[in-house]
Amino acid sequence: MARFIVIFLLVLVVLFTVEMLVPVQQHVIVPFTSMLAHLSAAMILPFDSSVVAYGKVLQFKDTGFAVSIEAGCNGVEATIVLIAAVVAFPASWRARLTAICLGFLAIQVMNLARIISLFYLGNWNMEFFTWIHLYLWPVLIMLDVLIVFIVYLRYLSRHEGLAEAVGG
Amino acid sequence: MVEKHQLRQFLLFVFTLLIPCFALWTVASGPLAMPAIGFVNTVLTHWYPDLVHALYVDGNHALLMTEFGEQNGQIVPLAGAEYRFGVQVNPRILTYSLPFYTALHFATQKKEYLNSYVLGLLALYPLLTFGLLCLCLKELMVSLGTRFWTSQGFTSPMPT
Repeated sequence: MARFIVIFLLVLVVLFTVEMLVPVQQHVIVPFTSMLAHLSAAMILPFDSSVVAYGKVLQFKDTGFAVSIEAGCNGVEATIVLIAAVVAFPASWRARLTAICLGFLAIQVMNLARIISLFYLGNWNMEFFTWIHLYLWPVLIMLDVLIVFIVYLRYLSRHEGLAEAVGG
Repeated sequence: MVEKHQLRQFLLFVFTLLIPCFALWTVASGPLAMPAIGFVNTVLTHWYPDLVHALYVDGNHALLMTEFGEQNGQIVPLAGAEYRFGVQVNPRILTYSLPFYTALHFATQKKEYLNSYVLGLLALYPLLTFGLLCLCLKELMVSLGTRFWTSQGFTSPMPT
């Protein structure tokens, strides 16, 4: 347990530090965040012609309400937490990489739902938008991370033998 | 099969418990943040006596009052100012971890709940307090700008 916590915290600190570096922000985080905005727009536009998208901004043509998808809204932090947990838990690297890739996908699917729901919520009521944006969605995203990790542990217990993994 | 049911049961309990936990937290988030606000107030007023007047609870938020004044939108020395300059800090972006933790804790199957719950809270509060301290320092740096850095004898990294 102590080993898990030490490695988890270490990986967390290293990855958060790397994420904050200016070149990483410029070349990875900002382009990835813009890509998420475009993906959100691509999912909305076929169903709602009152929406326009430019750069990392989604906007309603009629009301003028817009959201800008910023670093911090991209699920990267949640992915870092998942990576730290998966790396800290003893298992084969193949299992770890699979868990990280599938977990990343699960987080991003949830994050797209978050972006789209917040966009519509904000157009309807700013008070609800603020509350759900600041408090509810972060909880749901972290719950998503937790579920992915629990499913991963169950997979390990069936296929790799959790006791062996913990020992090794 | 049993494991699958356990996961489903856990998720069902989490989502069911999240609703009352968040409802209670929405009402009581001010008092819940009080211990952290009180501690950070003591730290900041001792650490930066020339900058920080007080940090106190203001409804569901906290108010960080500085030793500077405000006049026509400009930060000026307190002596010649109309108002004391303060910034609003939102401790709820930290304390929402309390209802989340509560829901997760009581959704998990255990033999005993209360002792481990209190231990968890005791572990969470120092993290909350540290987070609030960082939040207040960030607000001071952003709102006071070069005044914050020069008062500490540093060269400001911010553009003037």
